Amino acid sequence: MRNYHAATVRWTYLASALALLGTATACATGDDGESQTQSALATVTVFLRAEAFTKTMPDGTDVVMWGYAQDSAFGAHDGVLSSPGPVIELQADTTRLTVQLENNLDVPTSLVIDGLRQSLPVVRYPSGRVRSFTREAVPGNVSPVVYSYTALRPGTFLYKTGTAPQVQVQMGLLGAVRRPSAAGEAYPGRAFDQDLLLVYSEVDPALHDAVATGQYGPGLAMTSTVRYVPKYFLINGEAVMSGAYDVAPSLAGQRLLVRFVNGGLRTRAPMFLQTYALALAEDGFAYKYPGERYSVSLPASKTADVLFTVPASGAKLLYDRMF
Amino acid sequence: MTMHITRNAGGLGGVARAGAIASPFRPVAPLAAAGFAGLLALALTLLPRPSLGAISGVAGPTFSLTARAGYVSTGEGGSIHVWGLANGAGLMQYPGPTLLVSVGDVVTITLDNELPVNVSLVFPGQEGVTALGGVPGALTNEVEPAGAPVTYQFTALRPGTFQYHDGSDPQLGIEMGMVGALIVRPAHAGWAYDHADSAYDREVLFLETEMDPLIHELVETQRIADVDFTKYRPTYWFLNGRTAPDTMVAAGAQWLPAQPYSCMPMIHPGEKLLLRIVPAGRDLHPFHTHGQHMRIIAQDGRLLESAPGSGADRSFLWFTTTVTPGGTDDALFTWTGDRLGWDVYGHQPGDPLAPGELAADHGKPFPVVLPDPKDTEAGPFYPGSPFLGMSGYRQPVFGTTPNPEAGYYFMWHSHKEYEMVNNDVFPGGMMTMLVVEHPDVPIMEM
Repeated sequence: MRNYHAATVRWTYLASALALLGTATACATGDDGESQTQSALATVTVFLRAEAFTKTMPDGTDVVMWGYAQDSAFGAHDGVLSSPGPVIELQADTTRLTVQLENNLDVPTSLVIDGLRQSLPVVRYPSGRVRSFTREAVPGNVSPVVYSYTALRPGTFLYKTGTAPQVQVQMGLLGAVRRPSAAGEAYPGRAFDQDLLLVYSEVDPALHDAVATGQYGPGLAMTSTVRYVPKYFLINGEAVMSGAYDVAPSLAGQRLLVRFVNGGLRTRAPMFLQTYALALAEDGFAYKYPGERYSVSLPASKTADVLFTVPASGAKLLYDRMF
Repeated sequence: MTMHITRNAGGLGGVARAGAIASPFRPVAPLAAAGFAGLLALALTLLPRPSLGAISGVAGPTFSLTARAGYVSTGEGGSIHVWGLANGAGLMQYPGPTLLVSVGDVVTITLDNELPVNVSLVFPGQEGVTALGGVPGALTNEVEPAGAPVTYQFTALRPGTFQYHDGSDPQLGIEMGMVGALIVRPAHAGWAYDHADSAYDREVLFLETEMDPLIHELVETQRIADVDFTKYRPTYWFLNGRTAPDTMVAAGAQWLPAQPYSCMPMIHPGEKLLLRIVPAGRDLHPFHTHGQHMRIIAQDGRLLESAPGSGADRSFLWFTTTVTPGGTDDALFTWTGDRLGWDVYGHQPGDPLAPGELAADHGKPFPVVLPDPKDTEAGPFYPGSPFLGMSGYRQPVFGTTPNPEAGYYFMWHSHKEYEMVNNDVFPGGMMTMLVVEHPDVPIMEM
């Protein structure tokens, strides 16, 4: 959960390091140096590692999850696995995002970001059916598979595996990307003081057990996710016993931007008490005429951004009406 | 319950129908083995003729509610244990009383609890709600079983359509029945919001809920700990606390003591009907109107305006309206026969226009050769004439019809078609009829 609060979020923004590199290169190459420097300044590179880990649920049950860790370099293995994976933080001037993927699972995997333009060379089974929306990283890949995004825009986005998503996303291979329009501004003219990201996901332990024990697949105990029945409902990776989420009382009076992301399959309905919020955007597209709402409709894979001033009445502001 | 005729142009049968008004209720008959048409016909014979058209509720701004167990009846003859809310010392009802207040009112709701669990009420869309008494809970102060009451208070700052529901264990409390609507009326009578774009002639509440009876059985038999919402599977769907065909029975019917609210809109052509859509359960219900689209003018109690005072300039047309549970939508609906291409009154070109008539189709002939009277029979809706109010054509029919005024019936229902059943018995569930009556047929509000 810590990973998801603006104040304590961990992210790798290599701009300064790359800027130094860019300057050095510019000295060497002369006439093209300035554009190279600008390009380097605006690039964010993230090293993600997909791997299994065990999550203990509030009732003491251990569930094998698939998640992502953010390493300092490919193969460094110094990041902490989580599901949802680490937040990919873009800045207003970021013009290029590069994700370098390492696959420590025992099946191929890949990465897509919903809502951002990207090259999607599909991978097919021998039968011709699509297995992956984009290039795959094979298990134990020795060099990174690189995904690049240049058509970046302000907003909140869901990243997830593009390979066998009906299993791999449910296993936990998902996370969020956020990009402001300017420092402290969600979209043009929409300033905020605090940025709260809430990623909703869910776990059916039967699927996780079947996958972990090799019992998922054709002819095995579990052949599909048709009967997917989640038992745990997570906000920012932590199973919640009710749909309520406490907003820190210390935020009273501040303009709070809440970025909702639904990485699960069930529709969620986050709802505010004691306040309205200005509904700013869906799927990273700002409304032309934002309206006041107290309810948020959050179907599978939806992102929604809202903005409100936290009332003095305290923490009990937000719950899930479809919990 | 008071009745008054809101519009009586005399003419077609206005006086004759007064007799029917005097004794609106008849005993319910067994519904077993009745077909679709039969069921609807039966429901319609139970209607006071003419009837309905307003929103029943309890006027505020001070309310006393009691969380209390009881039973609701379902259209196929079932009975379900529910936790509802009583108005003061009255009967438990489902949904809870529709709270009617005016903008600027200081609304006070005192909650008592006769249930075996903590209960509380939350009011999404209201700001500055205070809770006095009881014990602290997940979302607000709660009343313990037989504990001291909690008093909730807020100022109704803005007009609109809202809901309230249990805030202690919303998952179980909402399923069990502790939900209700709150309507805040603006200073301007006949408007829903502070703008003429919200003007209406009639209004109707569509409070949508669903129930999984297995959960209710567990609660009834003191096995609350066995309730597992991951196995949640509703098999009953309600409008204003009733399943079809009871949705079409008069408000306050004696044989539905815990379900006092009906849900059957009736309008004249050209009138503006305000739909206050309140999804009070935990599921999505794609609510579908036949006859015409509806224009969504407000969501979550806010007019869809692009700037303060601009009117509902962000409004839009939908024919399937799926509102997020907990939220609300307000929609306007008007029916004139637009696009039919023939005169629903059977006018000749030189005849005067009827009130609300679509001028473009005036005098246009009915495009079908009407059958020989010997080949026709009255059905639940067909009284012997295709024309509204039989104004242009009439032929003798065999038997009696529950639609002697020759109104037009349009089914309004959940577009999840499987929600139009009562525990697998069709028809039922989240379904009712819009009735368009001839301008000369009075519509009563009760």
